[in-house]
Amino acid sequence: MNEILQTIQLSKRFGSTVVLDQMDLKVSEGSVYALLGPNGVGKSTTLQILMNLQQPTSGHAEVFGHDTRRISAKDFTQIGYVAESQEMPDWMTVESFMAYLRPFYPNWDASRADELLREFDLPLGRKLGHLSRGMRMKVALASSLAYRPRLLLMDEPFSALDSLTRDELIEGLLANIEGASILISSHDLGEIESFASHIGYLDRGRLQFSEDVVTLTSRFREIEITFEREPHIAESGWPASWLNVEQSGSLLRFVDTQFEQMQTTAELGRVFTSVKHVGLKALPLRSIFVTLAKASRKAA
Amino acid sequence: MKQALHIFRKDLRYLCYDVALALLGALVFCVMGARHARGPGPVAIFLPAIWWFLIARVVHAEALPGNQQFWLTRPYEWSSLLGAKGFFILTFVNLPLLVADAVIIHAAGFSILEKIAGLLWTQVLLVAAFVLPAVAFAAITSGLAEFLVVTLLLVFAILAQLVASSVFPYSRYWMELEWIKTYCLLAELAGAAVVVLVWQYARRNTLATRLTTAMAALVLMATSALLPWRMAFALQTHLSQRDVDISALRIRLDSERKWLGHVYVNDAGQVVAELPIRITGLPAGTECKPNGVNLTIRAPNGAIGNTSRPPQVSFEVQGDVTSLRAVMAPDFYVMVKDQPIELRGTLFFTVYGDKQTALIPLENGQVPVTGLGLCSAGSRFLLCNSAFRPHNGSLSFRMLQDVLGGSKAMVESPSGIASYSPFPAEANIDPLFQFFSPRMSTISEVRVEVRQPIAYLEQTFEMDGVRLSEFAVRPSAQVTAPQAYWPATKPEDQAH
Repeated sequence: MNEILQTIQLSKRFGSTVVLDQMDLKVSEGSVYALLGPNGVGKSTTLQILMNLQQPTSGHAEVFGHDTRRISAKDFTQIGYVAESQEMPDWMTVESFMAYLRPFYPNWDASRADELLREFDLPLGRKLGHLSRGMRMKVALASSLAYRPRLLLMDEPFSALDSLTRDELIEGLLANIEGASILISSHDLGEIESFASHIGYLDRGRLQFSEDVVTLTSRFREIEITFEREPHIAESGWPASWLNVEQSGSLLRFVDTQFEQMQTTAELGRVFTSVKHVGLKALPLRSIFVTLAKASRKAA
Repeated sequence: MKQALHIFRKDLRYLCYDVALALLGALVFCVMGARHARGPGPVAIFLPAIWWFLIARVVHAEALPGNQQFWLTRPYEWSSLLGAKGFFILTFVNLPLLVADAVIIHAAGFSILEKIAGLLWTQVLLVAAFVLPAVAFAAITSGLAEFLVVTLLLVFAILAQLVASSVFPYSRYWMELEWIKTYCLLAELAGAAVVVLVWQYARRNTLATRLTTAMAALVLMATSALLPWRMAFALQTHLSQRDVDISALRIRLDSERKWLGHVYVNDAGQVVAELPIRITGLPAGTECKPNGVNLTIRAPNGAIGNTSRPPQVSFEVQGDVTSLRAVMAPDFYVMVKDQPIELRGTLFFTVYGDKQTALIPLENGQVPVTGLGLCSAGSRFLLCNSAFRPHNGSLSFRMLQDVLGGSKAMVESPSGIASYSPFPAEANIDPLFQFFSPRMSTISEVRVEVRQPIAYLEQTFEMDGVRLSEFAVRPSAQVTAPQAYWPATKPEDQAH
């Protein structure tokens, strides 16, 4: 698949603080890529560099194959950007805002715009400054979907929204993204696990992993071993891919982040003796995220 | 263009009240200027303030610093955005002033067609001196609060400049040549503003453009303080088109009127010697006005008493008496006061000619006066208006006043500063420059004499054997006393 956007050795510093450290990210055309990570790890910075809102310290980013530092107005006609922190012209009404944006986009679909406004139940005559946070996000999304963008970047779009508004937004998004690529940043996996096709986990300035959801979920397994008697556990010599080791009596539990049936079985046989039972359990995305976050914190 | 107009219409909707206020201000300015004989008054201060903030508001509608503004991720062409802002300012700042100026000068009796150059040049100056800096400041600030801080800094800088120019007399010597310094500063200001604007709109590099602005401010201050007066005079000379024969010109000490000179101690504790000079040998029909002087005072032992550029040396013109004013240290004065010293220098002066005389009819409307503008006179006043710039010549008003049953001739020369600028307008919001002279007694006749500057020249001079003590009447030992003053005394008084 072609990459619709990518970052190459992208670094960003604010003073002495390194936010992004030679990060390589690739998002394929047509994918819904969730960029996850705890707060303050550089997700928003990454998206802002992709939109040329910030300049990289070194490395570079590309959107549609163009360096984002030279991203043109023509490129912006095919990109939507929805961010929690984005300022809007508060003096405009919802209707006048949409009408104002319309001439900027040659591919603006007026009937779709009307449909989105109806779908989101937005009050046309109300000023943007008088809208709730959820409604503002809906306006931002509606105004970004009305021209059928090839690429939609969403920076923490659902944070601090009530669950009803969040569901409405996601519903509206899913109903209107046909063929578009989406890069969505979030610190909460639960917000995006239902529709992300790819996931990247950003921590300590680098992508800790980046892969499609199927591969990701298939390589994570929670392994629970029951021993015949309480074992003495020494973690030296264990594969580095075994994380979050917990022991309770004769029960040992950990997460294998590189699960592969044959290889994992062989590793278990090499490391442990007197094994009574081995249980394998697939992990939901949320547990994978928590496992990685804990391991990352421990490593830090 | 289409996008620029679209943004323009949006800005007009957004700023409709601000625009209404600016147009109202321009209307009041226009009406006051047209109806009030002495110009638009305080509106001339408030209107630029309204414009200043209107410009900031329209630029901040799409603020450039920051990364949260919605428009940054929309398909704006930077050139269209800048064009929209420019068009807005032209429409609601420049155009109203153009119309107001036209109405005011028309109401004052001038022909708009004849003054079209001044009308348009005023717009060029407005853009260079006001609009471009305002847009540039707005482009590097994210909102009105930051813009207000910059404005206050600017006001403080201007006040500091005014205070400095009153404390340091150097700037006073520019007089008619002030326009050269003004245009140098304007060129730098407009150039820096254009660089900042284009850079900021094209690249949105706020840190770099703010640094550029700070650098430009330093360059402006340096230019204001360090621009060589001699270079300006040389430029003025270069602009002169006329050859004037000054081969017979002589500058010497006015030995017949030594009593006009005097020596005193100024506030800084320095000794000031004012030495009357006589300038002879000018071509017939011309007169001259000194613009500056270089002077070196050399003692018999070779010691140099002062440096050779203002403010250490200047001149003083009182009526037909021109004096060199030399400043020196008290020690030097005490050493040389009784010794024959050498004065070496260069006088820079303007030759005026092409005298025009106009009789101003009393209580009978305005008459045009070449090189000045329009003048009218009543039984107790004289009023002359010039449009867009002050006169550039030498003016004198000759009036016959009724005094105790008879008539007395009075000659008055306006003290306002003229300008040698070749341009048709000065950087001034009020399009009219006025000379108004009320009289206590009844005027029976008024004539205006105008001489045009025809050449800007320099002439070296040497004066040997000058004894400074001849210009002082008190014992030189008291010279060191602060504030000591020796009034000029005629030789015959000394004999008594």
